[in-house]
Formats: sequence, structure tokens, C-alpha cells
Amino acid sequence: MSELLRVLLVEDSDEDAELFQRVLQREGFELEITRAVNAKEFSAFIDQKKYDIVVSDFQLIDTNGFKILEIFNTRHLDIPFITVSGRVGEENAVRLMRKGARDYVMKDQLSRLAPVIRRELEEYRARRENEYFERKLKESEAKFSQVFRFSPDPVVITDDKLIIREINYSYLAMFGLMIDEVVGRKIDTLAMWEKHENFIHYLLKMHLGAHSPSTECNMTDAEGKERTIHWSLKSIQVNDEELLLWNGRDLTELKQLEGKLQQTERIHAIGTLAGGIAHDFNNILAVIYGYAEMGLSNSEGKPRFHRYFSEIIRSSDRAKELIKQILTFSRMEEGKRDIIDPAPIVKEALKMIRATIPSTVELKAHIESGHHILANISHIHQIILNLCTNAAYAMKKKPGTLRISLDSIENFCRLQVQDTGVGITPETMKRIFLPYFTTKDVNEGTGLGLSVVHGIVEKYKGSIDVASKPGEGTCFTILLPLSHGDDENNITDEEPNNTLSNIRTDQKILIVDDEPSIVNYLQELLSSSGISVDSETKSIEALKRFLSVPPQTYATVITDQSMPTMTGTELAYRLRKYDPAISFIFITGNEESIPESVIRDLGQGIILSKPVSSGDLLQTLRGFMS
Amino acid sequence: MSTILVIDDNDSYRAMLTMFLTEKEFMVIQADNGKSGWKLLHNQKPNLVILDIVMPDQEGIETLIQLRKEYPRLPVIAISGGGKIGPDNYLKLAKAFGADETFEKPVSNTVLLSAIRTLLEP
Repeated sequence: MSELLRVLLVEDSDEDAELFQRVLQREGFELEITRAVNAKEFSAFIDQKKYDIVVSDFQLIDTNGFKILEIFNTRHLDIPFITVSGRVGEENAVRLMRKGARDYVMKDQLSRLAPVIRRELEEYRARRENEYFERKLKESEAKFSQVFRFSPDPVVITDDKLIIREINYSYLAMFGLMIDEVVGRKIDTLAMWEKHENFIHYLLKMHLGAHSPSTECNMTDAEGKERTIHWSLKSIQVNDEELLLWNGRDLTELKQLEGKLQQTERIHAIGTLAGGIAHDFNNILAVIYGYAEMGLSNSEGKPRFHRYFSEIIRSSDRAKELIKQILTFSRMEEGKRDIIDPAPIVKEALKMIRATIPSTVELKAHIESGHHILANISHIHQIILNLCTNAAYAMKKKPGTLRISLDSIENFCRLQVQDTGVGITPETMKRIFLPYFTTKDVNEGTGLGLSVVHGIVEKYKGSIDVASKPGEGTCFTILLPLSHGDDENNITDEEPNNTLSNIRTDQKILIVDDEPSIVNYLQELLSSSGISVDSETKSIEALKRFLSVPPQTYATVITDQSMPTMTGTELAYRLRKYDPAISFIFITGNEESIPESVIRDLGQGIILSKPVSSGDLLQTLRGFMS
Repeated sequence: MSTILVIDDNDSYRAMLTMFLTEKEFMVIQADNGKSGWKLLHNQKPNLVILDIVMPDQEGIETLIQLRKEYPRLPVIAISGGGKIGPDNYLKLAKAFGADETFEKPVSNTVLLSAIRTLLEP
């Protein structure tokens, strides 16, 4: 394989130039020779383009190799310079080499030329490569030092005696330190470690035990805030010295999120559980209640028994209420939400509160009207009542003030309930939203109040914030999204997949069933979901109605299959002729009465078996319409 | 003497109700599921049915629909202890399918009795 060699040849003899060319061509070089015959030409040509090598005759007419080399050196090129000559003394040769010529070849030994050139090119390549790697190394060092310095994690490097060698910005910023006061000190003399000496020794011990230890530590930052930092310790080798890398990771926010998530999960779990047991509970209670009633009516003239049974009934009543509350809590009761002004509801609730709280509590209210939200009235009522009941309870031992305000901030309606009571300790604060957690005495609280509030606020995509100082009081701030009433007229608050809020409202649904009670039920179900519905109890009438309105008036026809004169599918075939886009839901007690081929034929059709659950029906409709 | 059919899968509640209604001089027949209730309905022709709506497999509503088809005028009182979808919903459903009265459990016997008497009035 021939290699292209770009040569700048300095040679004033044509003969020698040709010889030079022949020798190298014989050796397999493909040459691109630029020839200069004197120093002037050389200075011009050397700047004209790139060369792989300069080969210069030593003895030139007007100059010599030294002069050429001198010019070459002013260009600071890194390519090899080789001198060729008939005769040059040992002394000159050494001088040339000192001045930067790479080699010297005698004209009578031109066979050496090719190997010399090859060697020089090889060395040149190696030199370039080294330079490249050195540059890369420098870049990489700079990069890693940046990574270290600007890492969001606090990082320290110490030697094995724990003397700090390097420390990064995150560390300094987090704990409010200056770099000069830190480097050179022992890590455990820094303020944030003072309380955690054991922690450092634990890490070191684990480290010596050949583990890569990592563990969490609660530290106080520059602002006095508690932070959870996960520290890991590793040995690193730097210039044959073993150093320790202390890498921290700030888990504070993560921990907070985790806590919130756990709380939400627990609330949901308990809610589901509560819903499940409520049924059994009510049944048991029904039995207790029933016998107690019988006992009561049979205890005339026996006042003691009368009292016993009355007590049982009273307790059962309480239990019934409690279960209701649990159910409310577990599904926040399916309630319709409308755009409402919470002000009158809050005022109404305050009247009730005024009547129930002790007279030692002064009530101050600042209620602004006109901040509309999408909400259920009883939910808002519940929020106010629960918060105010708690607030009053916190002030039962000494006189105080209960402040309630309703206003708006940015896109939220803000409700604040503030008391001057006993406050909440940090320990209690972690648990206030947990269901069944209460600080009240037995029989005084269910532990559901704040859970219910939390649940409602969460459902409304709002937020709840608590500020409290033990001994000074507590302030609950609730933010609920303001509603501008554009597109969200009503939202029914059932299971999410049972809502039909995304159904086009310009189309109606036609219900056909020969059983009026079923028609009534379906009609109620669908209209309460905001759908307009027409209904017929005779298939013939349904057909007539359908033909009397413009096509696409109805999106879907829900029909019973077994009807006298015309079955559901017979009706469907006829309807489809007039409106091919229509979809069908067939309700049947016997699925096999409708062959699959019929459904296929009709295009959009689904069979639902009796008894049809409201959820299935709504979901099917949704499927059709979305 | 009027005959009342109680269909409820909860044995204790059935027993309590039977005792109470017997005391009030009704003839009580009982079933713990929709199917056997259906048989008793055919054979004994009760004057009134007390039907629990939440029984395994939602038999209550099914029974009610069937019952309304064949006995459109037989008085039916639906009761329910509620459950997953809330007491209101089951009872609303029962009302939609033709129950004459609906009560959430626990319901006071006295209240139940007055409803029975009203429904049985000629």
C-alpha cells in the first residue's frame, strides 16, 4: 500500500532532486513534492500548505542547511526536518541535530532515507497522539473537579487521619462554612458533626471492616433546619495516597414526600377497610338494636331494665353515627359538586359553632363573598365544622380567640382557621391527618375529623397547611382551586370511571324497556350524570320517536332485548338504517339470545347481562362516546 | 293473620325480626337467600316481603326485579346495611326497581312495624 507523502524538498540540483524522488518511489511512497531551490522560496513555500516532512540539502548555492533550519524553526511546526548532503562534517551534523533537525542522511547512503522518513513519521504520529491524550486528561481533570465542586451533594475528601483536604460548594453552602476555615481541620471538629461523633466512628469502623458503609444522619443546617443526609464513605486512591471520600445525599425532601405518600396510602387503605366492614357492622347493629327495642317495650314497670335497654339503644345510635362517618370518610360520600360561593356556607356553619363552643372562646370572622369554587356544600360544611371543633377543643382550658377567614389568593380560595390554644407538638403533627388518631379523651373524638378534611381537600385538588406552636396556637390554611365556571358545570362525585363528565352533551340517549321501573331507574341514573335521556316502554314507539327527529339526535340506544312485538336487536336493525353511526347497548337476562354475529353486523353494540350495575352501564357509555 | 316473608342472609337479624314480628302477631316465614325465598313466595303466598338488598351475588335486586314482574302488587320493604357503594345507592336502586319502602340498617323495629302496617292496610 503506497502512502501519500507531502514533501517540501529544498534542493538546488535537478539531478539530486530526481534521485531523491526515485529512491523514495522505489520504497513505495506516493510523493507530492514541492521543491524550493533557495531560502527565499523555502520561506514562501513552507507557509503555503501543509507538509508531512521537510527534506533539505545541506549545501546550497546561496545558503546552507542551518539557514533553512533557522527559517523552519521560526514557523514552530512540529513536522520532521531531515538534512541530506554529500559532505558535512560530524560537527555540523551535531549542530544541526541540536537546532532541531531530526536526522542527517549522506547522499551516498540514500538507501537510509526511506527508513529514516518512516521512523520520523511514526514518531511524529506518536507525539501527536500523546499530545491528544494529555489534552484529554487535562479536560477530564477539569471536568471532574467541576463535578466535585458543583455536585448538589455535600462531598468532603479527607486523609486517613480525617483531615479535610477538599470540600465542595454544596457542603459549604448547606452548613454555612467558608472554605479557608475548613480545609486542614479534622472533619469531626466541624460544628455539624459535633453531635455525631459516634456516627463518624461507626462509618470508619465499618469502612475498616471492608464494607462500603452508608447510613442516614439527621443534621442541622446553616438555617437551623433539620436535614436527613445519607452519608457514604469510600476510599479513593490519589497519587498513591489513600484518601477518604465522604459523600452525602440530602434526603430531606424525599423523606417528606415519602411521609406524605405513606399517609395518603394509609388513609386509603383504612378507607377501603372501613367501607368493607361497615356493611357487617350495620347488620350486627341491627340485631342489637332490634332486641334492645323489644327489651325496652317489655320492660314497662321495671325502670331498671328500661334504663338498661335505653342505654343499649343510645349506644347503638352512636355506633350508627360513627359508621356513617367512617363511610363518609372512606368515600367522601358520592356528592354532586356545583360551583358555589362558600361564604354563606361558612357563615351558616359559624352560627352552629357559636352555639356549641364555650363562651370563653371569642369568635372573630372575616368572610369575603364571591370566591367561587367547585364543591359540595356538605363537604365545605364538614371542613369548617371539623376544623373549628378542634380549634375550640384546643382552647377549652383557657380563654382564647378563634379566627376564621375566607378570602382568595392567586387562583385559590383560602380558608383559615386559627386558634390561640395549646398548639400541636412536632411529634403529634406527624400524625394529625391519620384516621383514628386523636388527642381527645375517649368518647370525645373519633379521630376522623382531620382525616375527613384531608380527604376532601385532596379530592378537590387543593392543599392544606398547618402552622402551630405549642402553647401559642395553631393555624390551618386550606386552599381550594377557584372555579371560573367555564367548562365544569357539574361533576358528580362517584367513582371516577362512573362519571360521564366527558360525554358530549349535544347528543341524547334513548332508553327502551317494557319494564317502566327499569326505565325510571336508568333515566334517573343517566340524568343524574348530566346526560339528556328520552325513553319509551314500547319498541314500536321508540322507532316512531327515532324517525321523527333528525339523524344523530341520539348517540346510543339502550334497549331491553326481550320485548313484545319487536325485540331489541330487531329494533336496532331498523334504527341503524336511519342512522348508521348509532351505538347500542342490549340489556338481556340471557346473553345467548343475541348471537355474536348480530352484534358484529350492527357495528357498535354491546350486550350487558341483567342485573346491570350502574358502573358497567356508565363505563360502556363512556367507551362508546370517548 | 298476615304472613311476612323475611329474606336476609344474616341469621341473627332474621331471628330477631322473626321474634319481633311474631310477638306482633304476624306469621313469619324466612329464607336466607333469593332462591329459597322465591320458592317460599310461590308456595306460601305471603302478604308482604322484607328483602335484604345486599346478599351474596347481589341477589336482592335480582329477586326484586323478578318479584315485581310476577307480583306487581305485593308489598316489598327493602332493607340494607350498605356496603361498598353506600347505603343510599342500594336503596335507591331498590326503589327504582319497585320496592315500596326502603330502610337503612339498623332500622328501628317500631319504624319498620308502622311501615308494615301501612302497607298491609286494605
